[in-house]
Amino acid sequence: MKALCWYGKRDVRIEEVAEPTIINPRDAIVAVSSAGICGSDLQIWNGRTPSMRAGDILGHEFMGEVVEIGPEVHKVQRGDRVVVPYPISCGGCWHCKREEWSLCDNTNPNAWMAEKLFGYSPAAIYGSSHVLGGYAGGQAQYVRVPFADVGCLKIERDLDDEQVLLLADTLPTAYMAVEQAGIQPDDSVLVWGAGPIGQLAVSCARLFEPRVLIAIDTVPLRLQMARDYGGAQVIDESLGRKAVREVIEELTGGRGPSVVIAAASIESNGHGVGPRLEEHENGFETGLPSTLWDAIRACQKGGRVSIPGSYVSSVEKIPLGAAASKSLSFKMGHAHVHRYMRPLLERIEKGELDSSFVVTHKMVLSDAPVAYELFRQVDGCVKVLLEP
Amino acid sequence: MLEETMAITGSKHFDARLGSSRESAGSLRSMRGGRYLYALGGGLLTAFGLKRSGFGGAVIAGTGMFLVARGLLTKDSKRRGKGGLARQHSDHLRIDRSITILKSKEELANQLSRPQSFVSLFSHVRAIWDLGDGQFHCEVVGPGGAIIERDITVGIDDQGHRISWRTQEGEPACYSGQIVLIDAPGDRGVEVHVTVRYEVMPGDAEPRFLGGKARDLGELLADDLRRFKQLEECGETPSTSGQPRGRRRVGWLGETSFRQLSTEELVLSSRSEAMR
Repeated sequence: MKALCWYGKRDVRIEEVAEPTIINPRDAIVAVSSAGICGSDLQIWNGRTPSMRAGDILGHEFMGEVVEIGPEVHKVQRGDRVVVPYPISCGGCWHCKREEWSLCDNTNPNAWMAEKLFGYSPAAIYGSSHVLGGYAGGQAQYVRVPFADVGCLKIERDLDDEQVLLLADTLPTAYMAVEQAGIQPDDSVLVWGAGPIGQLAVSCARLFEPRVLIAIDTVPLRLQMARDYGGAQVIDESLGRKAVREVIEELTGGRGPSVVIAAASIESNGHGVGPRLEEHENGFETGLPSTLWDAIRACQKGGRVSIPGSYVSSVEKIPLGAAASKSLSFKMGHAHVHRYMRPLLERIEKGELDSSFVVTHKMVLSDAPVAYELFRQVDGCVKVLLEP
Repeated sequence: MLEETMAITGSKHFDARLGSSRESAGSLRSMRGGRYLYALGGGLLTAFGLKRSGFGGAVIAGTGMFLVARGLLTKDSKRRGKGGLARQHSDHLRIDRSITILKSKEELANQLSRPQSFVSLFSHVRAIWDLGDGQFHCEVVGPGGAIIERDITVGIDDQGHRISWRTQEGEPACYSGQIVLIDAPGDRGVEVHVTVRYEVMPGDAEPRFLGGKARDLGELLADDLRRFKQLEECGETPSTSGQPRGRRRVGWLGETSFRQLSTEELVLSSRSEAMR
């Protein structure tokens, strides 16, 4: 089969590899119909993610048709059309029972590695680093899905891939970022970064009916999308630090937003408001992603900062002084995707929520190396779907 | 609890962390003797140097005073902290690991009630044969893949909440250990505490090997506990072995394929976009 394999910094290649097989009784094999490229894929592509190995198959956001199931899979069958959540969860541990799916105790075969880096291992993730399990990803024609009964969400109504694919990651990630910020009607919400997660965070925040909803980015198309699809007031970050600050204060009565969603990963361009992200020779980030710095500074005293952006290794120089002095609260984490998939699917089916507008490009899998470069370099590219 | 377990297996008592007190005391005496020698020798040299005049005498006296000072000021290794002493003179190795499993004590006790079941539960236990009367012969994989075979005595308390084992008298090395099941707080299940000990026997070369591999042993034990938890909570051991991956050598197409998009590629992306 064809698969997108990682070989090094900015070096991904389409290769013919063996098709996956059932390894454990609870596995299923899914023929991929669509796979997204996520911001965290871009981090891997850019060599920022530790413990990648040459030949690893990328992709954690995918859907398709079940073509084979293990003997202990009972809830999905061959022929089912499914969306697969990006965290791999066992369903039997304490965290899974509490619906903290991305904290699953059991699915990471390299838990020892994650324990060295993080202290304790979170759930494994498809197509990510070996610290997070080293599972083959879904930017391929076929993918093995462990614990298929736990993971797969069946799509039974006639919905296009681009309407439901983002249930695998982007939409639940955005929704969780909004939900954990505890938005109330009197809140003023600022979404910093209007990439795919930022766009959907704006759409999800709108469901909670905050008094003020603001989106910030540097790319005109993204700002237009946030205004048109999310109903947000938008600020062009290119105006510069002082001007951005003044507009935020104007829109929030001089208090600043009570909720800031820092929706840009370390790959964001971060146009010059905060200290810039610097890059070590080993590819790990140092300095501080400007979005996080900005989010902390912009947030109102006693406010909440929600961080859906993807951070893998260490980030230095977090302005804890500002955070502590203003008594800010922080929430972050990999999304507990399984918890949100079905309710969000119901909203999509009812027409209350639409995530398809962020998909700006669809490309064939063979073009995936170009797609990564496109995603990184072209402002008008918000979300790329790959079709095997 | 440790002493109780040792009583079950009928062994002599030993301090599991600090090492043999007899050997340590001997070492300490030897170090104190060295200090006295420094002080005595230094004193004599100082006196001799002071009796001589000139630069030579001053040097000898100075050397003597240095030795006196060293003898008086050097601290006993015991005062450096027990860690140092234990590392240098430890005659046994002890590893403790624990994990919390979302099962009841009864379910786990039932799984652990037959030592033969350890073979399927713990990847580093290769085989166990029941010799009768609480005696078993076992094969375990040690650090570096070494196969260790021993006859052991296994004791299980009435409720099955504590399982202990110890190599039998006459075995070339003394291993012992225990598994203790304790209710975890709230609804978190059961804490499984495992202790593995190795006691040095006179003339035994094995502890030197194992002592250097303590970290590996700890990791083996941690791996086994993770595997036990996975089997109990999700019925299988997650694995990626045998999954597909790319096979080209790194650098086969050059160091990196990164480049700015060309006009042709932008056209290509537009064509792909047109698929929508």
